[in-house]
Amino acid sequence: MTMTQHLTPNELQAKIDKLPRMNIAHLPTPLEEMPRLTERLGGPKIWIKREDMTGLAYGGNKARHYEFEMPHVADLGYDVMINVMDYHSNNARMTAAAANKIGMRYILVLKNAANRNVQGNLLIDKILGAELHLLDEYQSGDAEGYATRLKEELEAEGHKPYLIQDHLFPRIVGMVGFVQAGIEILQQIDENDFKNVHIIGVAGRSLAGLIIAAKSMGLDWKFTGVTVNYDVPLSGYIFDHNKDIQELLDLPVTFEQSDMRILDQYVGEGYGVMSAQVNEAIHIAAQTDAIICDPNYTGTVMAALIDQIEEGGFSDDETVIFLHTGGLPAVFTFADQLASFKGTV
Amino acid sequence: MTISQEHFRSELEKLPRFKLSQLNTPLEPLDRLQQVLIDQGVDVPNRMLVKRDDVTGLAFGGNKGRHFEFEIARILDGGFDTVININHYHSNQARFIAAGCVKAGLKYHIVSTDMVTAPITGNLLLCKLMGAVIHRSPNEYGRQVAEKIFKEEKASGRKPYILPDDPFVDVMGMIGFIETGLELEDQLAHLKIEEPVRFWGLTGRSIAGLRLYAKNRGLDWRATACQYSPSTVEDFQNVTAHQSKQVVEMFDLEQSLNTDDLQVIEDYRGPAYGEMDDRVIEAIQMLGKAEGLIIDPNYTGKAMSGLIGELRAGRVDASETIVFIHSGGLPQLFAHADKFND
Repeated sequence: MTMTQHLTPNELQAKIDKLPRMNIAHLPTPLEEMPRLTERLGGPKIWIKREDMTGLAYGGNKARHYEFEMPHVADLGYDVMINVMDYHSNNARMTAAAANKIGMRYILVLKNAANRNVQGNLLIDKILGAELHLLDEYQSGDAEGYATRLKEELEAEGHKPYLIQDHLFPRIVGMVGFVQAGIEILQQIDENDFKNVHIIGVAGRSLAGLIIAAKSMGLDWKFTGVTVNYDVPLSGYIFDHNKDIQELLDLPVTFEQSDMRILDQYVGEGYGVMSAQVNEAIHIAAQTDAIICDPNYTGTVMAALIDQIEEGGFSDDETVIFLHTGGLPAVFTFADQLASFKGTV
Repeated sequence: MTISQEHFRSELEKLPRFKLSQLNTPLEPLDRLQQVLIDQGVDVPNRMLVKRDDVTGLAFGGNKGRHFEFEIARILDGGFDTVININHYHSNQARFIAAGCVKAGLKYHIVSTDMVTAPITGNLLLCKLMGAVIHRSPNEYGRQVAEKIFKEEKASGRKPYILPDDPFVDVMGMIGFIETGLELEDQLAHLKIEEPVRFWGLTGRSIAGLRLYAKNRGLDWRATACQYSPSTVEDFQNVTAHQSKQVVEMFDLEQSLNTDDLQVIEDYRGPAYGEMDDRVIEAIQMLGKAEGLIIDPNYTGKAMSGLIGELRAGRVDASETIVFIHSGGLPQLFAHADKFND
């Protein structure tokens, strides 16, 4: 085994501080107890990291990312951003809000969005003034091609468009934001004297950023990532970028797939379809600690957390931190299904 | 003679309190909105800021996350185990109490009045998620329904509490915003904002609490309250003046509010409570585009349409710094989604 030189929180912070940055998110986000859920499940102590409280247009974890992404794009002289996303997307909404904060023109190509009810994230995209291209199912098959043609038209008009999906930086910047969150959590758990920290969240870049933070600072935190879809392979989405982030921040270590316990049994029918188990989990979190989770992401993680504690997937001497990444507008896209939930919790 | 900040703090500390909210809330610039108005040829005030009480963190946030810290403590101290509330379909208060009751382990009935066939979304959906027992009723029967629930709960051995019957509910909103006054005085000093400052919000107890704080601190803080419902200006002013006397007594202050301490504007309330006109839609879209900031159709959207309208009409003193009170209400935007269809 090779010895890794660990960084102090200040040294890690100094590496983040080398990147251009603007203030967008309300930080630090609170770390709160969930005493009533803890009591109900009778297992480890459960805390919640409130990334839903970043304050950017209904909040969410991604507000952290734009603190780096927006100055990066603006500094390179781009004058319009193009984003290709699914109609449910939180990223689509939050990028719109962040772009407005620097007066950047924003074009949003939304897949599977034609003839949808204007509700949830799509409603907010609209209110934020995103230039919307709502693709039908057929067009969605080649959304990237559609966006590329838009980009080329804009270039022909003399603009300098930034098609987000063409670039590496947006893929790794989410991890940078969560290296920052890792330093924050360390400070918060020191104040609360935590033992055996185990963080559960969506298997995604945010969790990967926290792993990097923990490994860089030599902390023995554990991580469980819950997958929310079948069609985005985690290797290409996260793990293949472990060297990119290491290089960007000049770090002694990076993350590996083995650093994250991955749970993929809670996806249900697929992304954007709420299972009965998730519906129930949303009600349980709301009725124990007044925490609202969304049907696409955090509700799935909450379902996994509840099930895993009941099944002994966490040990009682751990302190579990539930990473609430936001996504709250989607609650109202699923209003009918949530309102007709008949179970008692 | 002015009252010291220490006096306000020590009086607040005497009140029983049950923590619900994440405080302090940020005070942020609205420089980009100001620039949009300048570009439209509008004379703008010295500076425009927003107090972000939409991010108090309790179930979608909002100003009432502050008030109910005092109310829930009072309910617990009284030994009650069941709360019955009568409130409108659009009500944010209904949601805050649902959240407060969850955290305190209390049973909660909401008698949701008016719009009895409107879909369960927005605040009412959140009440449902948080386990509220929902009884939908036309407005005129709300009271009757609540009393029936009260009797049934009592008969089953519980100790119920009908929320609107407690006079404390009428003053706690002012008390919550006395604390906001403490926050704001420090935040404005930190930003080196000089007086005069004008707070811009809605006809409610929050802005009255701020004005009461300022009056007793000897600060040149002015206040404009926009109406959002059909009640009369005189009613609001009289009730506010009366309630402020109770707070003066509770907090051992020197000056209560006179009817002319708050400027009240009624031109922006739209067709009815819960219904918005085109100016509100414009205000919501303007804030979204300029600042990436979301406001709601029933309350803050009306207040912002009032601010924009009064600025355009040249009726705001240019020497003032405007602090817009974002009191939250964000779930209810989704109940008005159809208004944003092209």
